[in-house]
Amino acid sequence: MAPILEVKGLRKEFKGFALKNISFTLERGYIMGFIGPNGAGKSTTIKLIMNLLKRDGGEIKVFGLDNIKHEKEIKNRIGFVFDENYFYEELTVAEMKRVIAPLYKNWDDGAFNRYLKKFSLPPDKKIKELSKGMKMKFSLAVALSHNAELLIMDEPTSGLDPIIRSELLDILTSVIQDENKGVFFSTHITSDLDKIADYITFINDGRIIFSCPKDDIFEKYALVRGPKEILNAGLRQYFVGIKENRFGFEGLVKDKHQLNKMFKDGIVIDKPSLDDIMLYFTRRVQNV
Amino acid sequence: MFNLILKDILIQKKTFLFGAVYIMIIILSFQQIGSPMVPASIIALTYVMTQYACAYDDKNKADILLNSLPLGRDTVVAARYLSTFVFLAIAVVYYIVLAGIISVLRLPVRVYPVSFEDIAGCLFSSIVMTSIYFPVFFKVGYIKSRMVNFVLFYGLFFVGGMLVPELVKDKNSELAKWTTRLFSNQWDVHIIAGAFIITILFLSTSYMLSLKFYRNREF
Repeated sequence: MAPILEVKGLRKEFKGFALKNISFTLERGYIMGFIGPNGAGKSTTIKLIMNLLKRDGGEIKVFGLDNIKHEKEIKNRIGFVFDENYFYEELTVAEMKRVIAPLYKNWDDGAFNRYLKKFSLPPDKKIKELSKGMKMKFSLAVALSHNAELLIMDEPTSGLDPIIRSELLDILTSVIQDENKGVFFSTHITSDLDKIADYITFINDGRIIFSCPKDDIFEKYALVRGPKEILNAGLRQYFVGIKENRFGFEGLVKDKHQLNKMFKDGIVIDKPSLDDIMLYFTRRVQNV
Repeated sequence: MFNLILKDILIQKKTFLFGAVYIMIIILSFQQIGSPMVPASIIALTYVMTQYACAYDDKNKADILLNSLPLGRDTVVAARYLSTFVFLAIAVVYYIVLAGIISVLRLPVRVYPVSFEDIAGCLFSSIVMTSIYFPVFFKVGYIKSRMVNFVLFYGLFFVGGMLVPELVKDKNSELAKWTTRLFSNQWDVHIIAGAFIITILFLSTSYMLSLKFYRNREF
C-alpha cells in the first residue's frame, strides 16, 4: 500500500527564504511530529501539501495520489486543523457545520454531534464567542467527522492550556488506533511529541535535518558534558553544537556509541530531549 | 456551490436588517429625481451585500478555509458570481416590500413600482459592476481592490447624478433625444438580443479572468 503521505524533493522559493529539496514519508498507522523553530518552513510545507501555495519543484503524494491532480479527492479524505481559527466568526457552530458538511462525501452527522457533546461545544454559539481552546476543539470536531484518513495539523497546540493539550493528544492517540489512518502534526512544543509521536521530522532553515522513528533519535543522539581540558579539535568534530563555559562544556552528538568507545571516563552522557536537539541544531555553537 | 451562497447569506444577517434602512434612505433622497429611485435602491443594496460578502471573506481569511475543503477553485469563483444574482433578487424583494408598505400606509413619500425594464437595467448594471470588480478582487484580494470598488460605485452614482437631471431638465437635448430613441426601441428584439449577448460575453470573460487569477493565487 502507498504511504499515506510522501514528499519528495519539494522546493519553494520566497524572497529571503526557501524550502530546499525536502523529502519525508509517513506510513499509515503512525503519528509524525514535524518540528522546527519559528520560520523553519513548517507552515510552508503544510500549505504546499494543502495546495494553498504552489510548489516550484518536487512531488507531493497523499494516499499515493498527486496532491494537485487529485486535489478534491484528497481533501475529501483529509482532516485539517490550523494554528488559528479560519472559520467564519459571524456564524454559529451549527451554521458553520451546515455550510461545510455537504461538501464532504463521507460526512457523519452522528460523529459530529458526539464530538460537540464530548467537547461541550454549544451549537448555537457564534464562533467568535468561543475561547481559543474551544475553537480548536471545533476544528477538531470538523476534522474528525468525515472519516478522514489523514489528519494534518499545523501547530494545533500553540496557545492552549495543558489540560486541553492533553485532551487533544488523547484524541490523536485514539484516532491512530485505526491502523489505516495517519497524523501529521507540526509543533514547536516538542514535549507533546515525546508523548505521542512515532516519527519525528525536523526542519531547520528550509532543510530537513532528519526524518526517522522517534526511538532511533534517542538511540543515536546524546547530550554530552565534560571538562574543558578534553575539548580539542578532534573531539569537536563529533558535536552538532557545543555550549562552553569556564568549567566545561555541554553539547549534542549524533553518534553516542562512537563517543562511548572513545571516552570510557571523564564525560557524562545523557538522553537529550527533542528541545535539546532542536536547540543545538539551530544554534550550532554557543559560548556561555 | 449552494453552500457557499448560503454562507454569503448567513454571514450577512446584520446587512439584511440594515437593508431596509439603506433602501429607505435612497427612496427619500430620490424624491426629487423620481423613478430612478427604483434601480438606485436595488443596485445600491446589491452592491452593499456583494461588498460585505467579499469583506467578510477577507476578514475571516476565508481563502485558507475554502481551499482546504474539498472544493475546486472554480466553485469558489462561480459561487461569488452567483451570489450577486441572489443579492439582486433579495434587493428587488426588499424594494417591493418596502414600497408596498409605504403605499399601504399612505405615507407622504413617493415610491415607484418595479418594472421589467428596471430589473433588466439593474441586472445589466450589476453584471457590469461585478464583471469589472471581481477579476481585480480575485487577483489582489479585498483590501487592495477597494480603490477599484470605490471608483466603480461612486462613478456609477456620479454619472447617474449628472445624466438624470440633464435628461429631466432639457427634453430637447441631444442626450435626451438619444436616450428616448434608445428606450423607445427597447422591445426591439435585435437590441435586446445584442445587449444580452454582449452582457453574457462580458460576464464570461470576467469569470474566465477571475478563475485564471484565483487559480494562481497563494494563501
